[in-house]
Amino acid sequence: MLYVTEAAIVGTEAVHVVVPRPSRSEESEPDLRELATLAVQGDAGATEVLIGRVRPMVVRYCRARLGRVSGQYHAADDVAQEVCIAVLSALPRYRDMGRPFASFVFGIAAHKIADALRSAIRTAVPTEDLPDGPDERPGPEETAIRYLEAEQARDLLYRLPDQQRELVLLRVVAGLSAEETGNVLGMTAGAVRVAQHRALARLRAMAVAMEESGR
Amino acid sequence: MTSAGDSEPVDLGSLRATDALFDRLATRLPEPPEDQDSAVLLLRSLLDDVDDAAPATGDPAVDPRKPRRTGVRTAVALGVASAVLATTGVAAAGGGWAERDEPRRAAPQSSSSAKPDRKKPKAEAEAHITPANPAPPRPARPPGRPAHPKASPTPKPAPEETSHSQVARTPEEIRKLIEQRLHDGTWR
Repeated sequence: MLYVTEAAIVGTEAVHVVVPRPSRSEESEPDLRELATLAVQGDAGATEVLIGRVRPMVVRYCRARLGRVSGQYHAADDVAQEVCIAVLSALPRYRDMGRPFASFVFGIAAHKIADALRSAIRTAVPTEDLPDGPDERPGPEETAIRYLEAEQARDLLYRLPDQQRELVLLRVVAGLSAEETGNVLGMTAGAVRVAQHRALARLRAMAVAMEESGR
Repeated sequence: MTSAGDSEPVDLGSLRATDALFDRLATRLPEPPEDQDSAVLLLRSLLDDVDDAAPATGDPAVDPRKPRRTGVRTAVALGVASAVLATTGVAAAGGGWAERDEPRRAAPQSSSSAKPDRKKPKAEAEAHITPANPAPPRPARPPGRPAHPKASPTPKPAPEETSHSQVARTPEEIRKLIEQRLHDGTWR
């Protein structure tokens, strides 16, 4: 279900013209599609590069959706790994139907995350070895503040309607373009731009309310 | 102006500003100060959190469109190279190339003491051997055997002359010494 339509735009100018410049993903998208075509044909090098490009986006998306378990991202990273394996397994059956390859990937990711949320896996958390040298990472106070703010952001995002939340995660966390996000969610790019604007307005209103209630 | 309601219209400038802000957040670029409200700061915190120790985004260095040497081709190339090297090594060992090269190299060393070390590294490289001792002792020539015609019969003693030339001169001196003692009657 769409929460906004292009008809809600003031004036007669269509939303499709709200593209001041080609975005980063639009520029790289043909490469991803080309890589996918080569990978489907069995090119091992193309498959390697394709997964190398897709995996960072998937990891961030899974982390933003699943959050930390016992202070670690191991569970989210495991799901991201499962997504990459599923993409590799499904790659021979992939057919380019004119949609971005990212929509294929994040369609799989959405299912994997839903499975993970249903099963609510609580696995053992591996710990790193005791460091011998100085730890360059942020200190406990800074880390705790960052965790808290990230959790607040997740809390606000989960108060959004499902589609707006997915839209913000795909656009901001995974770094997809409006066109790619629209393909994943079954919307036009113009509808994505309107919806992301409304989602940000909601987030701002909720953040102000949260600040006021905290005082 | 911007409205939180889903049914209210929004203006094009606000849509563009939000799109640009989302692009900056997606590319992890810093947002302009006018966009730094609490919601954007929380989103930025979420991004910092999910980026922590995550694999780096960006194009991998490998270009799959360029022809890459596959595993089979690498194995074939390595096999051919190994066969060539092995054949060359066996031929050199069987023909005594490396062993013959050493006396040939040592001869000019004894005859011309002016350039004793200049050809040495090159000869070693050609023979594919690395002698542990830079000046190995040469076996003494048997008595009565004439010296090499090109070799100097009485080599000039040079300050840097090695014991090698001294060893080559010894049989002659021994023979003279024996003849002298036989003549003097002091030989026992």
